[in-house]
Amino acid sequence: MSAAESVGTGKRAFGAWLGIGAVYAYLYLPILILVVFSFNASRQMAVWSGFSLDWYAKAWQDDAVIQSLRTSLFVAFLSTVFSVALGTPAAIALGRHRFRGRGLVDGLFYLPVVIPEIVLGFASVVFFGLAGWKLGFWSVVVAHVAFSISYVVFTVRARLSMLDPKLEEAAADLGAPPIDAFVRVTLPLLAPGLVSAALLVFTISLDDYVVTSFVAGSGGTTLPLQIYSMVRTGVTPEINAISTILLLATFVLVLLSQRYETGVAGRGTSAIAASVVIALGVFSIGGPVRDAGKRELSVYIWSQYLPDELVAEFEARYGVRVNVELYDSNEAMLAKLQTGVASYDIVVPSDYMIEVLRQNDLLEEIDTRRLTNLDNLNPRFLGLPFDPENRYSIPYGWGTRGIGYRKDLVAKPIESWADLWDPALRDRLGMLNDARENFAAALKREGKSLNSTDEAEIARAAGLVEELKPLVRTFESDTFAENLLAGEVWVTQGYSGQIARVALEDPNIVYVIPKEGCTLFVDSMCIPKGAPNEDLAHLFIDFVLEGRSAARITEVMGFATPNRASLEFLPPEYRDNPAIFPPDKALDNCEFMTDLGEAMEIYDRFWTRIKS
Amino acid sequence: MAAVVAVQSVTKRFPGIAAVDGVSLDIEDGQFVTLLGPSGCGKTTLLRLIAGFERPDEGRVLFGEADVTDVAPHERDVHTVFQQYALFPHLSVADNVAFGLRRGRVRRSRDEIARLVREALELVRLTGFEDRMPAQLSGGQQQRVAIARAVAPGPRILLLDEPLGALDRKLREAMQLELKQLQRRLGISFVFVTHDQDEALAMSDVVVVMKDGRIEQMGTPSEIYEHPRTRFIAEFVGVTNVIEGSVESIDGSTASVRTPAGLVPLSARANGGPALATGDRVTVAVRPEKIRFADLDGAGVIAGRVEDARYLGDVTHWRVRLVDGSAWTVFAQNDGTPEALAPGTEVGLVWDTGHGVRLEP
Repeated sequence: MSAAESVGTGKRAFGAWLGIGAVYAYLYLPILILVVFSFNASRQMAVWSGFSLDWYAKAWQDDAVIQSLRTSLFVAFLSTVFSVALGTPAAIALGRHRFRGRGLVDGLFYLPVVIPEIVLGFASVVFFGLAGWKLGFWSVVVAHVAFSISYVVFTVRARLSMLDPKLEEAAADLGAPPIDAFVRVTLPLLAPGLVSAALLVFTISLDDYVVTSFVAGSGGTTLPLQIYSMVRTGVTPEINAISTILLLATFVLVLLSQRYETGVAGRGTSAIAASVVIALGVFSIGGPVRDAGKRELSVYIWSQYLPDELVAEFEARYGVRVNVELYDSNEAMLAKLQTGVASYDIVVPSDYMIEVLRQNDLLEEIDTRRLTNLDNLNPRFLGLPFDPENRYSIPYGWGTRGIGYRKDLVAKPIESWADLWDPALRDRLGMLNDARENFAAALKREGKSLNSTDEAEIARAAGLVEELKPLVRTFESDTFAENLLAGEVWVTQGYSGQIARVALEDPNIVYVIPKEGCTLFVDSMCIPKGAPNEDLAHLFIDFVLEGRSAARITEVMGFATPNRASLEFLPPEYRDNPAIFPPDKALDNCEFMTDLGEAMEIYDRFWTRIKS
Repeated sequence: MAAVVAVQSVTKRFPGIAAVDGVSLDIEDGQFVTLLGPSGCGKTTLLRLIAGFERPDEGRVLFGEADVTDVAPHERDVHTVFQQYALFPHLSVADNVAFGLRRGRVRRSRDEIARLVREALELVRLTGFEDRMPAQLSGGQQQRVAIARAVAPGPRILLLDEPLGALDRKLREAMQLELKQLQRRLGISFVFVTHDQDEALAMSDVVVVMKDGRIEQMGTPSEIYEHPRTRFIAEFVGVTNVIEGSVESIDGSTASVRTPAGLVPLSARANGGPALATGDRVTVAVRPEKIRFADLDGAGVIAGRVEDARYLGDVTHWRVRLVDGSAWTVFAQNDGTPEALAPGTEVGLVWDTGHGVRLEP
């Protein structure tokens, strides 16, 4: 080879490495950043302030996280066992026997892999509904088994196709009856495929969110569900830490699975796999002993709304067990209740959703005579438009969706929605990723109701939102407060609670209710139709209405409490914080969002155009 | 004495094809029977019908007096040596060999199994390989394990499905000899499937030539070679030269056949067929080694022109173009008689009357 050729080859190799490097960077850089920041001492996302394992410690001590991890592992373990037990015979039947309709059956096994998960999830819920099977832990297992079987069939069939069918004939030829031949020859040779399938299915079950979110009921909150509901109340590095652990587990399991599938697994790999399985098994079963025989109260609530110690206190006082399940949107909660097979005793919907739930006849009436602490509530939060007589709902917490900004980065204090239309904010403005909220900003700026159904008003507001668009850096409903804390955005529309919490960390952050008013929301406790423990539900509502309970809840969620009696229990930085408890007159122009019915289509139409 | 295996009018159809079509075959005790034919002729299917892996659509399979048509493979007293050996990759050599000993109708003690494994491995000269895994063995060694595994339980019939196909030529020839010796020593019947005619001729007591699911001819190797019944067999087994013509005259036991290349002699009773009559159309086959070069003007000589020669040391293969355009092959021993014929040389070809074989049309 001449020198010129060798240089050319070297350059090509360099180019190839560069290309591969770019692709891998594209694939893994975001994940790498997540992992790096899970070790960040600061809670701020984009600022590195030193190495720390605090977030791992925090996650480890977070009972809800640990419990959901246990649930995830147990679900994964059971669905692995069942799907391998069911999928293996199917794979063998398809791989080894010729029969009429095999092509069709074969195709049907591939389908669940390509069917959108959301369809699978919804179909599963409908099925459980028709079958009258209560959503809970087992419904998750059953749904996971359903989609896992396909993966088992693939993996085992792939292994089977590498297996010489002559081996089974040889066994028969030497006098082995079919079962003996299967046990002595086929099964041992198939074993790597089975282990590989098991690891794969375990991983898929561990990671699944979409299907699980549909079918999970009381006792079925898996780690992905827990993470997702935590995201809603702000991304903290704790989530990075949990995600990193989940990633690591997934990575190890997939790696092992591949080693088995390609047959390079040796004794070392088997030892690792066995110890991982045993460790996970011990961990998932070794949780706190379930108090068998105790009555159970099931609470379906937003993440970070209910402190663990309150749950423990309620359990101790009444000798019951409390099951806390989490949701991340009103719509998810509605969907779950509509299945008719979810059995919750308490749900905590937002204002407009209470109307929807009532219209769908999904709420039980609350007997206010059984609530001894009702007087603790500020009368301002009773008899609200969505439930004028409080027959169905008791307020839990409230807040506003106004404006947060950094006073160190903007020229003058923000007071009005109109201040957002400032060219100086180009690429430094955050808006919620929600049609109604964006239009609310524009409608309020114009002095209109944020519940407007007037097409001309909405069209005019759409024009304003369109004008705003070039200034917007992110449309974001989860991490707006973190973005503000990191200085990523200087001004953002957002929930009072999250912004109040970051304001406690950084005094440069200010939350303001614009003078034109903004959205006011109240989340309330309701008892769903058919609640199995309606008496416990009343006890729980009354418990929350105690001043001390309400104060603890406010500290955890960062939203205001409608509970007057709680004020004396609240630390001053909460009690006297105008971001959490704004002065009454700031609320004068605020409105509850109402269900707009058909007019919502107008909003959606404009919003789609704006976002495209 | 009854045949150890009797296949009676067996037909096996696969979608679109009759793989075995009305075949009847008796295999005598202690015979080395070879099923020979091109791929797709049905020889492997016939073997699998005997092993029980396939069930016939029509006909019966008998082992001795017993009808085993509906008996599952694991209950049949035959064992198979598979084409790619089909050794159990997760079992050691000893466990592979012991597999059949631990099963079947005969209960054997642990000691007896160990002894039989040792003997079987001795038989194939693999003593000391007991603890190896199949993947650690060469192809020839795997072959021996496969044989040991199949013979260890002492079957009355051993079925071998192209067992030498995967070996290189030298090893294959050595194994042919070894298999033949093994068969004599064990005194059991071997049913051997191959598409290699040399292998079939070298090893067999009986060769069964198959074509399109049917038996084309059955006989000893020399019967098959010297007296092929059809053109297919003549050309499949060995090399042959064929010419067509019509009977011009008959003089006692010898007929003269007029061919485009000249008059050739033919035994009037060749191949035991019906007697010839003047005017009959016949096809005559002559093996290349039976032909000699001769002067052009001799009796029974046909003319041709040398095209080329392949010098192979012991013999030379000549290609000669006849006047009718067909190419003939002549094998000549390199026994000192100088036969340096330049291409283009005109030559005469001649053979003994008895060596011309009349093929069925």
